[in-house]
Amino acid sequence: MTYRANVFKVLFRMDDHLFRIKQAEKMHNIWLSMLWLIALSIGVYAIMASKGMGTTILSQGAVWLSAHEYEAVKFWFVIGRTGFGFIFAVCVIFIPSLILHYITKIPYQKLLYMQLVVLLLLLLERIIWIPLTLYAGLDWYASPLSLGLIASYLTDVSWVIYFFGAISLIQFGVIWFQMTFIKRLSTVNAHWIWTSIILLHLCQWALAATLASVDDNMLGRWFR
Amino acid sequence: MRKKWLVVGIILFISLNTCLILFDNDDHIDRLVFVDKWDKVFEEDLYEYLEKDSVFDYIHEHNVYFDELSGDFEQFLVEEGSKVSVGDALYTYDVRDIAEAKASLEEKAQQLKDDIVTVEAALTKINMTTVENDTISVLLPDEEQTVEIPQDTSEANMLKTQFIIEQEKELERLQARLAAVKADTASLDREEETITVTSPYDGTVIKISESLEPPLMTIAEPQLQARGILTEQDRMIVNLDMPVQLRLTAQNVTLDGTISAMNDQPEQVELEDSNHYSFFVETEALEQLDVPILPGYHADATITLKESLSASTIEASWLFDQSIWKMTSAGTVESQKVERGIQMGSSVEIIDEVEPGTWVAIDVSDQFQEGAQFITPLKLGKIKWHDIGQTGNWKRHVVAGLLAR
Repeated sequence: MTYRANVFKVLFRMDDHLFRIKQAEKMHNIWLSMLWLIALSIGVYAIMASKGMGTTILSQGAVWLSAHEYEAVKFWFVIGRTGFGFIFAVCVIFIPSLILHYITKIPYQKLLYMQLVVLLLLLLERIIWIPLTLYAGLDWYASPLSLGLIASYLTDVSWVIYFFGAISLIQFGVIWFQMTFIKRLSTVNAHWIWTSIILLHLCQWALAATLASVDDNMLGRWFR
Repeated sequence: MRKKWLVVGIILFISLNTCLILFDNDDHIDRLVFVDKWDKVFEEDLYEYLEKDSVFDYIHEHNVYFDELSGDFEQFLVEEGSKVSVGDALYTYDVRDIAEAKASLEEKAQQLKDDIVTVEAALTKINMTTVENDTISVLLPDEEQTVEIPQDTSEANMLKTQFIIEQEKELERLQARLAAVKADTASLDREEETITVTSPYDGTVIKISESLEPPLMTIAEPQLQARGILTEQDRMIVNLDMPVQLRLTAQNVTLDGTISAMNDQPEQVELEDSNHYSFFVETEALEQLDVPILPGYHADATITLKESLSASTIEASWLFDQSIWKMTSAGTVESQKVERGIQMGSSVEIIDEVEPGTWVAIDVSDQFQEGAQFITPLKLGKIKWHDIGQTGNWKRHVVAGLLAR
């Protein structure tokens, strides 16, 4: 049978959908959903950047620039951010699914579909960041949904704060979703699945922490 | 069942985190500030003004008296409004006692002669002094050379000339009066019984007392000044030499002047009522105007109490609790306490070391924390699109965007 892709509904009627996905021989509409999720990702990141989120790196020395210069700098930043939005979506969709495909032998297309849902959840997380930053002055790693606040109290090391800041309730939700999905569709040992998913996420969090540690001085050195 | 625990767990977690945010007294958490509107400290010339009404009036008024004992008053020879010069006839009276009258005239003549001698002596003396053209020699630090600096004598020469002119005028006046007294004496000698009194002043007869109540007449010199009234509060803040601008609205004339005098005494000291102190404004030469200024003309006087040129200025709305939120070159916001100076409309002078051009956040919310980094939204309207490609280092900023999380 054919399964018709509907990224939203999967979250609400999970059992039902997972059952049908398992039975399906063909996944329909995947590419369309993929396209508009990528578009959504680009849109969310472009909006966040236009609101100034992430521009703390540009604020240093901004007072020496003219109005046009400062806005031009932010403009190019937004362009970069938009690019990131695209790369982010592509990475989230294709890379974990590839890795998990080799481990669990679940058809690649179905795993791609799973990652589409994951991407949706991640974009939701980012959308929540918007009011958090604009109204409460809290950056992503200081979100009350993450472990970053507790980390801020316990240490001063930036990388560690960023690492724990990347671990949020939504991340737990994603892990739980991926666990459920794969367990349903694969016969591989539960422990294996558990381990691989956790490892995958640990890498993602470490990558996030590393990216966040790139600061103005580093950029300065690269672009000297 | 498990689901309930999950929900409870989540709520507790979020509450814990929220408490960590709210009770962060040691600044463990990095905070951001979203600044939507900001502007720069600018330079402006600021003034503090006091507006008063004023009117033009004579500066010097002289009273002329008639001693009833010297004779019987005969008639006035001038009217109110007549212009008189020194020596013009003012009034006549019949002499009661010729001998006494003659004696009194003698006395006047002698006094005048003495005055003339004094003035002539002063003139001789000043004409004899030459303004020295002193050159000052200065030894340079290397102790080798001397520099000669000629002193400017033009100002001294000008003062000398001015003094001479004034004394010569006074001499003329005295000589005219002496001539008048001599004429009176001559008519007494001819046994005429009527004496004509002449004017010792130049000016306009502004008041004649028909009933012969003293003063008999008042002659005002033609120079005018503007005068107005200050309240008790005004009197405390107005000082001499403050610039004043006078606007005669009916004549469409604007004049510049300064406060030349103020009364220390109110017209009449009141306990129950407010007290008024007069102020006087000296202006540039009124004779040079196209429109003749007459006594009684009203003018709006604007007194400049304080001025601050090229002052560091901000809008009053940028102040929060006597401080402004500066945006620093480190990319953070900082609250700086400032001292307010002159306020002109909505512009306020700040007397502190805040340079013009410093960025100030205008829309301040509770979010603002000392030392927090600021972020600003993109304002496309401020970009000059044709220059966009030339932004230095644009690649760096694109990469910054690519690498931010």
